[in-house]
Amino acid sequence: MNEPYILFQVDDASYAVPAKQVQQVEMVERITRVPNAPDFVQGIVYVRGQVAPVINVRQRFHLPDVPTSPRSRLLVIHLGERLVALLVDSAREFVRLDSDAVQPLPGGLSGPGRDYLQGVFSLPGRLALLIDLQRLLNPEEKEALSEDLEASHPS
Amino acid sequence: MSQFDSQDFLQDFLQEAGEHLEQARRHLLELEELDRAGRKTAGEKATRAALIDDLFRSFHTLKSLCGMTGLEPGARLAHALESALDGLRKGRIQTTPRLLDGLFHAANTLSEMVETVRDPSAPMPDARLDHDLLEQFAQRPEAPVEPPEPPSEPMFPAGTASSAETVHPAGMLAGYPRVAASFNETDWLRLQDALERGLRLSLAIFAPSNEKSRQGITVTQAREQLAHAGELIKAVPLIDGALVRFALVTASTQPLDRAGFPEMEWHELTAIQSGKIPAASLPPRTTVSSTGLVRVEMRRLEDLLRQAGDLSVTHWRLTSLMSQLEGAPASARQDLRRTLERMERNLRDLRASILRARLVPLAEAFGPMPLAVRDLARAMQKEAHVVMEGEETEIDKDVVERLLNPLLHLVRNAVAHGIEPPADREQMGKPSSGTVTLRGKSEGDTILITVADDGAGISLPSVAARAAELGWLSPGVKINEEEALAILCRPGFSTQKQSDLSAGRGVGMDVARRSAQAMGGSLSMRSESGKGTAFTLRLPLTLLMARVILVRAGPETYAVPIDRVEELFEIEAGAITRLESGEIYSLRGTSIALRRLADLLHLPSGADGQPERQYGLSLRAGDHRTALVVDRLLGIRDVVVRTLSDPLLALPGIAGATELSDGSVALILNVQEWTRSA
Repeated sequence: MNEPYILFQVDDASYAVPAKQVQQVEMVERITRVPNAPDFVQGIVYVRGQVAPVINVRQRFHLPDVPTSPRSRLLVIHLGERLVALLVDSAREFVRLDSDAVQPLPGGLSGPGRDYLQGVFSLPGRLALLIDLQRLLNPEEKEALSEDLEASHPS
Repeated sequence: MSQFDSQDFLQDFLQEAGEHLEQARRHLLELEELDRAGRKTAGEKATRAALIDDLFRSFHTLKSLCGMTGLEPGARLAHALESALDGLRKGRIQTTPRLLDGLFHAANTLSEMVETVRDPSAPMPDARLDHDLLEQFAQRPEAPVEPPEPPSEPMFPAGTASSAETVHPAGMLAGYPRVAASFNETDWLRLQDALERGLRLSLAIFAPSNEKSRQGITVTQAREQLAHAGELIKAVPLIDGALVRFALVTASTQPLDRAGFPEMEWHELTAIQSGKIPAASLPPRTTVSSTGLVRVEMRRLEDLLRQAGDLSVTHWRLTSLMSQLEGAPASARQDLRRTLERMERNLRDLRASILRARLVPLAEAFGPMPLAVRDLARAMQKEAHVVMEGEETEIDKDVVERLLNPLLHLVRNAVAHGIEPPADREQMGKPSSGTVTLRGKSEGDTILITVADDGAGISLPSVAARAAELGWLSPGVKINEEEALAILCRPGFSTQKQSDLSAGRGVGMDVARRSAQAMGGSLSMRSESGKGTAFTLRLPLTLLMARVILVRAGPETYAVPIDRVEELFEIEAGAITRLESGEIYSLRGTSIALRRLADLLHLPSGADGQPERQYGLSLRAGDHRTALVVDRLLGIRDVVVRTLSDPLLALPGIAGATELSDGSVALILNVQEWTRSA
């Protein structure tokens, strides 16, 4: 099935999200910091009468942080009842892709964000990684737990 | 689409069934009270008959409601209840405590059945016992009995009304939703009346212009002309940006002479049979009853409030643009400032009106309490009844819903730990039945809710002794009421040795206090040994709006609810004493602990280091005084509180967020949480 996707870039890779889940794409203005929020939550923004957390995708993928630039974008995602903004390096492309053409990720892959990917699209001359929004947006219990364990057993 | 419709329908069902069940329980309780009092004046007999009639109707309606949603067991049980009530009504059976218990129980079972519609995974309760009992009383189970009069309330919202024969007045304005939307109940009645008198209706659109007004044709004049020619039902202004027009609805015996009104655009209104009313012409999903009440979903009011909040932000932006108009003529600037001030007042009124629309009487929260008292008293072989005062005091619907749980804990506590067994009470010269008083009172934007009992009271020395046993206090220490409450609210505390039906005092008190605090309120206690105990919840009138002080700490702006702040003062460096554990400030002879907001929130310090002047906000928090230190005070605002509902933002110490004039968001701090662990 041919479906619209929005492509965004983080570091050197291109990622795809189904356009139907993207409510809007915004320039990055002021993000309000939230004390004690998980590391990958950059803060909150106000979008159309709602307060949405901003997920810094670089942080989420454990990539080196860079300051936001004029090309940085907020992808405002609707997922069920939730409204969440993804902070990405840039987002400029709107493409139609055959959703059946998504291929499984090659085994043994351990790149950035491996845990948050559903598959990969082959575009002419490049790849677009399909994001698993559900996992990207969920507080990582396993991770938090292991951090707690590390904290309680200092090496 | 059809799925949404059925969802809406189920919502309607749940709400309506819930209301009828609630009412039925209340009426059963009143009936029981009446029978227990045992007096039989003519007035009381009439009240009793009316109660039984109401109960009968409630169960009859519940039967139909269950039937419509396919809740078969519910319809059967409602039918059995209806038959029993019919027996009572016709005097075929008498009320006995056993029958009343049976009715209460069956009503509870029915309520659980209704819940299975909301939550299909919930098990369908077994009603065999209820049926057996009700049948015993109904002696000869009869075929379904139809009530002599149909229930007076319409079962469906007006939009689906089934009176197919009559012309619905709303149908006349089907093509003009904006005009229809402006019609209030009186207008509809006038329209209906005109239709019934066989008058012709016409709608004229009048667009005023400078040219027309030079010729003396204004909307006032047009209205007068129409009123002369017929009966002007309503003039509705239609505003589209700068274009203002008026829709004038007129009823007349003869067709109006349109040539006499060349400046108007005419529309003929023809009757449409009610069955064909386009949905858009009716206000959707609201029920207009004969009492002038409209049922509106809460979400719609929240939308309205959000939009009003957006308008406020636009207003602040406009206000901040004022400063850029230095070059403009002074008179123009003054006009603009006045207009902005008027706009601010209008906005405040608008928000206040929306908030008022969400208020419900406290009676809604008090309603279930008599039943809880009855059940627990019975189970503990005590006697107790409820007295309500100030139950008409209004509070936000949201607060009422979150109030139920803490209130229930306080009420159960009053029965379980406050009120003595009947024999003990009589020995002390008290009436054998204890009184639990529920009192509501408003103090500005704060609502005070008191749960008082006339029981044994709380003995401070025994609380202290028990606390000492638990190792929380040194033996022999004297405590005051506030300290006693703090001990009672500590999980794991219970002065009663045996575990009883109700949770020990500790658990309930802890829940009550935490719920109050989560809503930005507090719990306090007064007790007199031998005379009784009173717990008071102080709660905000609404959780949606807050009056806040905007403060700056480091690079960020935060909002602090003003009702938490006792005093604002400028910090004088000389009055600070630095200790190893922190800073103490001398404020007019008393000492107060300083907590720097930037440190508490781990904010990076500003590039220019600490600002020259800083301010303190002294906070209300029990005995020890704490002041929050901030870099700047930016002003006081009434803000719309946005809750942070996303799981990623479920953090203690943050009550919500609100938008600022520059489009960014400020966090509303629950300052207690930040200053508690001093």
